[in-house]
Amino acid sequence: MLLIDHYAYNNKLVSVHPGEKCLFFALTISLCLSITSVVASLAVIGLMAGAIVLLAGVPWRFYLKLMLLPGAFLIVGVITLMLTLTREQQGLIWFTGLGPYALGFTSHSLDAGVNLFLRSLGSVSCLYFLSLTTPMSEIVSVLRKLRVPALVVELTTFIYRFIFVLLEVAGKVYVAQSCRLGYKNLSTGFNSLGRLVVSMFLNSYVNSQNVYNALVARCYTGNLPGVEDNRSFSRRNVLLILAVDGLLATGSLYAGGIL
Amino acid sequence: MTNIIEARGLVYIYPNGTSALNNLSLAIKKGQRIALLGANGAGKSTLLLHLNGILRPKKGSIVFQGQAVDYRHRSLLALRKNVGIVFQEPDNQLFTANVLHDITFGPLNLGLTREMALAKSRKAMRETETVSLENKPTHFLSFGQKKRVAIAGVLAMEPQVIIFDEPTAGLDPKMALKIMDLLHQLSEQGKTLIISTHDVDLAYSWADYVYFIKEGSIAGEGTPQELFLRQDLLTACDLYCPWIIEIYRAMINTGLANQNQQVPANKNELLKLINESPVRFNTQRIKAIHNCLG
Ligand SMILES: Nc1ncnc2c1ncn2[C@@H]1O[C@H](COP(=O)(O)OP(=O)(O)O)[C@@H](O)[C@H]1O
Ligand SMILES: [Mg+2]
Repeated sequence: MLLIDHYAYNNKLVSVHPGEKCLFFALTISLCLSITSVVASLAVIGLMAGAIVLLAGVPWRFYLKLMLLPGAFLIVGVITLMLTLTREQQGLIWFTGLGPYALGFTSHSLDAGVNLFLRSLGSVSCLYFLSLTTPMSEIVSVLRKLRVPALVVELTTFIYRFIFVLLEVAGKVYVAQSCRLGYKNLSTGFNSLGRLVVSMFLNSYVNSQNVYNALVARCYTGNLPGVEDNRSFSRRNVLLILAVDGLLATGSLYAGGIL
Repeated sequence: MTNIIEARGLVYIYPNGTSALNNLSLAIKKGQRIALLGANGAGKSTLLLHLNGILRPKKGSIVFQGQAVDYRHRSLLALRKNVGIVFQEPDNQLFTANVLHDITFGPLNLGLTREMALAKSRKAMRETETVSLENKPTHFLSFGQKKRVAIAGVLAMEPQVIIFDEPTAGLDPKMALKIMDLLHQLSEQGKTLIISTHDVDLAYSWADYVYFIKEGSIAGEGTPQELFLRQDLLTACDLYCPWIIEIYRAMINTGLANQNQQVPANKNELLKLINESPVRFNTQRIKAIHNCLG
């Protein structure tokens, strides 16, 4: 979490207009979700990996680790989806017998599974692109420009900020507990964790009042005005994005035999 | 000179029944450097929240430039525009991850245009030396940096009165000195400054008028040079004697200075007093001073 956030502020694409990055993200993820072909998904995964590692300069080891996280979940999920349990063994390309039943894959379920797996991974890599190259406050400013309701925008602003405040407090409480051997074994560990959660609740309650006071002290009247940066879109980048995504769309439609 | 802000007979009781202010009155003149001193829990922070209209007294009133605050929306906004408050805990004050967004928050709330708000924010950032932090998220800043951003957020609104609740608490000595330098600068610009602290040395050499607060009311007020000489009052308010006063006393007791001389207001004046002392130091005198200081 913290490291993703670190790269969001320290990458080679940070000065690029957030709108352009959001455009690239939105176009690519919709392509990835709408075109069901292995080629398209693979192309998206490759494209995003290239953009993240080569253009943004995020270390490939770190990116690989990030991809392994959802990858592992996806593999387990997709395998259970692909398996079919039937009485008839014909149509199964691989199976093990379980008494009168057979557990295995059909060629159709195998196809669907691989497709789903790659499509999900492609979408995840799009999300990683956005969160590894664009600071949250810039995403919020794009949301504001898109006329997303103010409530959502403000909640996002506050939640994002206070995640880190809470993390810091939780970290301090945890260290203080560990120093007094609060986590020396499982039972004290559970006990300490419970206390930590309770103290976080109380802390948040008291702090929310203080935060509100501080906002009101600066004439808060219920809305957060934003200072949008008036960087303008670079025409070159927008054209490049459109070209890349256009190429991706035609290429994968062609490879999928639709064109 | 006229009073810029006054508190008249404030009484405040927290919802849980804690009586925090007890018929407290004070009157602050334009351009003064005020220090409120008192032990933890004396009611300093509660008082400061009243001066900016965040808490509403059960009894009594706040008077700003001769007009009593009536707690309607308009008059509250007018008060808060003119009385800024820098809270003790910067994490409570910074509400967004973006430094510039946070600093422009106040000026934009005042209805300034984007350009004006940015211009004032940039000026405040130069004064607080936070220009280089503009593109850093607030959660990666150090405590001292957060504090300075929080101060910039208040300065950008250009209030006439600026309140600092424990401005140096939690800062290292160098950063504390920097903040005090900033306070001096602000004072020279003609701002009225109010700080709360329990650091007697800081208050002694910085303030031109001090209030001692004890259990929610004023236990004493005056210039630091007269008030800090009253040992009984200091003891009653759980405050220490500033070291400058201790040295001054020791000098009087050992004959290095006499009672008619002016009480030194800061370190430099004390050094001057020592240099001009008619009596030269010798080992015996130094021993006597040692004994005096215990
Ligand atoms: N939110 C609150 N709810 C209830 N009691 C409070 C609250 N804040 C402060 N108090 C109480 O009010 C008294 C004055 O506190 P405070 O103004 O914070 O003192 P100081 O800033 O001088 O340390 C204390 O007894 C404190 O316990
Ligand atoms: Mg306090």
